[in-house]
Formats: sequence, C-alpha cells, structure tokens
Amino acid sequence: MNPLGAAGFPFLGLLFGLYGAAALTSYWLRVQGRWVSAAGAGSAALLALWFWSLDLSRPIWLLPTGSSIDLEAPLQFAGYAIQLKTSNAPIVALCQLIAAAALLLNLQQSRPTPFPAQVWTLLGGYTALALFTAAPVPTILVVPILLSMLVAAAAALHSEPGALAGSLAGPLRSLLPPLLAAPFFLVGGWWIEQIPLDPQNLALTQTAGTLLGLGLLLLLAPFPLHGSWAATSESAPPAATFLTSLFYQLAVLHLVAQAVNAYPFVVRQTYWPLWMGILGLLTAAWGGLAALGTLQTGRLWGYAALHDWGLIIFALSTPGLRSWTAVLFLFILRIISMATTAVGLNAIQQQAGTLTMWPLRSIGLRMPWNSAALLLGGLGLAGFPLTAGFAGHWAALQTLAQIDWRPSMAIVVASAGVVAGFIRLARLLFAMQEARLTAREGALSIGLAVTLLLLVLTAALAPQLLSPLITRTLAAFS
Amino acid sequence: MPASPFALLGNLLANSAGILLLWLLAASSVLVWSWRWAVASTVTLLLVTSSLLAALHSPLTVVTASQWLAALLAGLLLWQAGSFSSTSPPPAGNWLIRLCGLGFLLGAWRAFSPSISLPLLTQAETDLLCWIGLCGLVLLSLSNAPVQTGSGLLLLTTPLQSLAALLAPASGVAVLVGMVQILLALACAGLALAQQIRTAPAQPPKLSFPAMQHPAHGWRLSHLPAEAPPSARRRSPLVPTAGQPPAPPGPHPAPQKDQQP
Repeated sequence: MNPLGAAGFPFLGLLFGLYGAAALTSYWLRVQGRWVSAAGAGSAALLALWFWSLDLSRPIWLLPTGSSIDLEAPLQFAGYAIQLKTSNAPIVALCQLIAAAALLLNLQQSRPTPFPAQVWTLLGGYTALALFTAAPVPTILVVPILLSMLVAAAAALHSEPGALAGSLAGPLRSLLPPLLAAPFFLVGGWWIEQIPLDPQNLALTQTAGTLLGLGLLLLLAPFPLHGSWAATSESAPPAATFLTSLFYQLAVLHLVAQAVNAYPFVVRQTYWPLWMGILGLLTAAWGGLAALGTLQTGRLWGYAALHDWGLIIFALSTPGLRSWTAVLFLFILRIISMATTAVGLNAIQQQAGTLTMWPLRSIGLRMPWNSAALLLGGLGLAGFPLTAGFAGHWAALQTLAQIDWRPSMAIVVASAGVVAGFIRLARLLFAMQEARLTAREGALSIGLAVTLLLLVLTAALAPQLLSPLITRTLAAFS
Repeated sequence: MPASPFALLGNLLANSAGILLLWLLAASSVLVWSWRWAVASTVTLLLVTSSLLAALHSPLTVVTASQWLAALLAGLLLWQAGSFSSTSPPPAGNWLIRLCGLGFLLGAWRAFSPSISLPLLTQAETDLLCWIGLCGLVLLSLSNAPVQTGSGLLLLTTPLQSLAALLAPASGVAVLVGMVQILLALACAGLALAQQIRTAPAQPPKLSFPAMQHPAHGWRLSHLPAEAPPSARRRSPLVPTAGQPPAPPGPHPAPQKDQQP
C-alpha cells in the first residue's frame, strides 16, 4: 500500500488495521464466544455511529503529538484505490450496523465459534468494496469480480457449528449470480470504451447499456435466480444468512446506483423498466406463493425475505430520487425485520435442534418472546400492519400504484401468501399439546428478543424516526 | 519475439481437430460421472483455453502464467477436498440421459442460434467458450456435491478468464479472476469437508415428542427427517433400536412391569 498525496497518516490504514486486529483477537479468544460477540457488537455499533457523524469537510486531524491523520487519503495499489468520501461513508456505516447486528445475534451461541472473526473479515472486505474509487478500468466493471471473491469468502460462514445438516446447495449456488454477471460487465465496459470513437452511434450505447443492465439484473438475483437464498436460510445459521444476504444486497444496490448514475443510458436506452418491473413482480409473487407452501421455518423466512426483495427490485424499475428513497426505506426496515426474525429462529433452532415446522408444535408456549420475534419479524417482511415493514411497504406500493395500480395489487396479493404462511406457523407454535416440552428461553435470549420487538414497534409506530438515516444514506445513491 | 511455452501448446490445438477435442472434453465432464474426471477435465480446459488465447491473441506472458497458476492451484484444492471427502456424489441419471440432455442443449443452441459474438474473439472461440460455460451450468444443475459444483463453477469462469485477459490486458483484472478461481475452489473444498461433519446436530435437543400421529397431516415419527432429535427417534415405537426388530405400526404399547425401575 502506498498512500499518495496524503497530508498525514491515512485514516483508512487505521480503520483496516482495527478490523484486522478485531478479527485476530476474536479468533484467539473464540472460546469466550459470548464476550467476544458482545464486545464486537458494541465496537461495530460505535464505529457505525461515529461514521454517521463524521465530518469530511475537515479531513485533517491534528493529534497532540504533532502528527496528523488524513481522513480522505486514498490507499493505492497497482492502480486500484480505495478512498473515503461523503458519498460512500453512509454505506460503510450501514455495513458496520449490519455487522453489529450479526454479532449481537451471535450472543445466543454458547459454543466456541470463529463467527465473530469471520464477521470482521467480511466487514473489511465489504468496506473496501464500498470505498473502491479508482482502477485502471472503470470501477463498476471490476466490482462484480470483487463481489465474487467476497461471496466465495462468505461460504466459510456456512460451515459453522450452528448449521443444520442438509444440502450445501445454498452457499454454493450463491456464487452463481456474480460469476454469471461478471462477463456482461467486462464486455459492456469494452463497448463503453468504443463510445467516444463514434459518439453519434446510438447502437454503441444501446449495446453497452443492455449488457450492463443484464449484468446488474443477474447480480440482483431475481426469480428464477433466487434459489440460493431460500436454500441458505434453510440450512445455514440464521446469523450467517442475515449477514451474508444483507451485505451482498447492500453492495449490489450501491453498484446499481453507481451504474445508473454514471451511465444513464443503462436505463434510458434499454428495456430496464420492463425487466425490473416484470422480474420484481415475479420475485415478489414467487416469494408469497412459496411461503404459503413451505414446511420449513428457515425457508419461510427466506421466502418472506424474497418477497420483500421483489418489491425492492420492482421499485428500481424507475430509478430516481423518489424510488431510491423508497428502496432505502424498504432496505433499512428489512434489516430490522430480518434481525428480529433471526433472533427468534436462532433461539428456537438451538432449543429444538431443527427448524422443520411440525416438531415445533407448542414451542411458542415455552418460548413466547422468541416466537413473537420470529412471527413479527417475518410478518414485517410482508408489510403486515403494526410491524416494521408496514410503513415501507405501503409507501412503496402507493408510489408504484400512481403509475399502475395492477402490479401493486399483485404484490399485495402475494404478501397475503407470506402472511398466511406465518399464520400457519403461529397456529403450530402456540398449539396446545399434552406432552410436556422441556425447551425454555434464557434471559439473554429474552432480552434480545424484547429489544428487537421494541425496535419493531418503534419502526412501526414512528417510521419518521428513520428519516435522518435515509436522508443521509440517500447521498450515496443519488 | 519467440513464442512462449504456453503459446506452443496453444498452437497444437488451434485447429479444427483441437477445438473439437476441447468440445468433447467439456462434454465429458458432464457425461463421466466422477469427481476425479470432473476436476481433471476442468483444470485441463482452463489451461488449454488459456494457452489457446496465448497462441491466437498473444496476451502478456505473465497474464497467461498467472492463469495457469490459478487453474493448477484451484484444481489441486478441489482434488485434495475430493480425496479427503468420504462421500461420493449421488448419481444424476445414467450417461445416456446426460448425453440426451447435452444433445438437447446443443440442438436448442443450433435451433435458436443466438449469434453471440464477443469482442476480439473469433466465432469459433466464442462458441467454444459458450459451450464450456454451458457444460459448467449443466454440471451445476445436476449435482449438489461441493467438489462437482466447484468444477462447474470453475468451468463457468472460463469465458471470464479469457475475456479479462483480452479486454483488460494490463489492468490486473485477469489476476483478480485468478484469485476468484482460487477462492471458489477454496470455498467448495471447505464446504466438501464441512459436509462430513454436518450429519448430526452438535447439541442435544431439549424437546420431547409423544409417539403419536400428527392430527392434521398424518405424519408419523417413523418418517422423521435426518435432523430430527434423537430423543424423538428413541421414544418412537416405530423406529427400531439397535438389535431389536421394528415395532409394528399402531398405538404405543404399554411398558412391561418388569422393565419399570
């Protein structure tokens, strides 16, 4: 690494040094899993808060020792550079927030696990991706390749001790979308390089836009490329699913914003609105339909999340300030809903040893708080009233209904499938049974569930509290 | 400028017979249902396409060398994982069915003739890369086993590897693609080893289940999935314990008095 043009020690060197030290310490102290997770969650949350309040208009810090730290100094290697900017700082903060939530979820894990070290490593990777600003070729052409590397690295999380026996298809299939998308970006980039040679030739921009659009579409993994997510949520530990899916989706949304802003012809001269509209609708519809039929609680969570993701893809069909606001609102509420569901799933999986539905009969009577977290978080992904997702879903649907009411109605119908799936689960969880169950929820588990339930209720009753967060994040997307 | 050793190998295969051989080798990775053959053919294809590119387009020698290094390392990782793994991949039909599947795919390709053309590549090279990628997708769709999935994913990176070396020659993207290949192989190898230790839940469950039929769906405890709690299996009269014949289906028999503590 060679900091060029820095007015002091590069801040990013300190940040990545901190990540590395945290990963090493977490690995060495992995026997003390809960303490490491708690300390890691606190540190990541504090880092996120600090990044939110970072003032980049004063990029030089003078230390009492006389040396200085340059916040905006880039780190460069072989023509590739990462740099902290106003436009990417909110993405880094969101990544740290997701990592903090994942580490908090790991508090429920009592066995020694390298999960906290893996979280810090992945956080470092996704932070570098968010800060990636320069390369010998246009940066967005390289991002899918870097994303493939991060997805491959994340596969290690799925061999955790908390994982269920079963197929490993999920983590392996999650490697497919970035690998399929990367050639589209490379060829699209070649066509972009040809545009200055003949600026009047619309065929060049159309070809480049089509290739980049198809690449982005593959990265968004709509129906029928969604298979890995449902399979992962069935077999992987909920905390790992939460972390890997949200990291990936945030990175892809950031890439979409960068591509659409840098190359407007991706939207204007292609069938982008049609692709996103149809595939978003199909994804949401399939999520609802599959949630209605699944017999596995993890899969139910996965399909509910898929339904929610379909709505986000649908909202991307007309990129603009309004739709990006809706997308970010949906995504932040998605983080809350998924974390709440994951808390419930984690606790129930640890007590029952399975997430198959029928053995969970009556477990809600013994574990009411975690069952409530599971149900309310899952219903939030369908936009059920009085849950976190309600405000986001209805705001997005109203915005979309102004253009055409029929797709919005179809999404509402599909969300009924998710709601029906969770109602069936609720009937099973709280059914009476003669046999005595020995499962019980610990104080830590109850504390986590209650905290997240309060967060869900706050987001449901006062969603306007999230406005500053969305406004700040919007700077990275528009 | 003298040709690099990579280009010499490429020159041997840069003809109709060589291209046909590569088509057949790609198809054989699907037809011959063995992880050893899948890994070997995948690595051979990666090396040979890289050499072919070196012969026809003369990219930087260091780029071709990095591609060779990445392919060999990825293949070695997958081979090691396959050797350590005791489970063999479940069969996906017989070779005739897989041949019919590939024939159908080829027929559909010819019928629809999507006329894909990649910049700086000849049509024969483009068709070869597309065919290798398609074979990778077929391999992925036929198997859940991590080693064979790894082979499929590596086959899928063949077009990416060639495009990176040609379209972004001095940018280091080809090296990044090599790193992707190594990480892919590492991930698949890790999951192959993890699959062996994921057969039983590590923590004993705390639920007790009655020996009863589910009222709504008619499930019985004898149909428990693999991850069902062992306590449930033990209590079920329908699941035989070691050294005992299976009990007949029906209500749970009352325990014998002499067996009471």
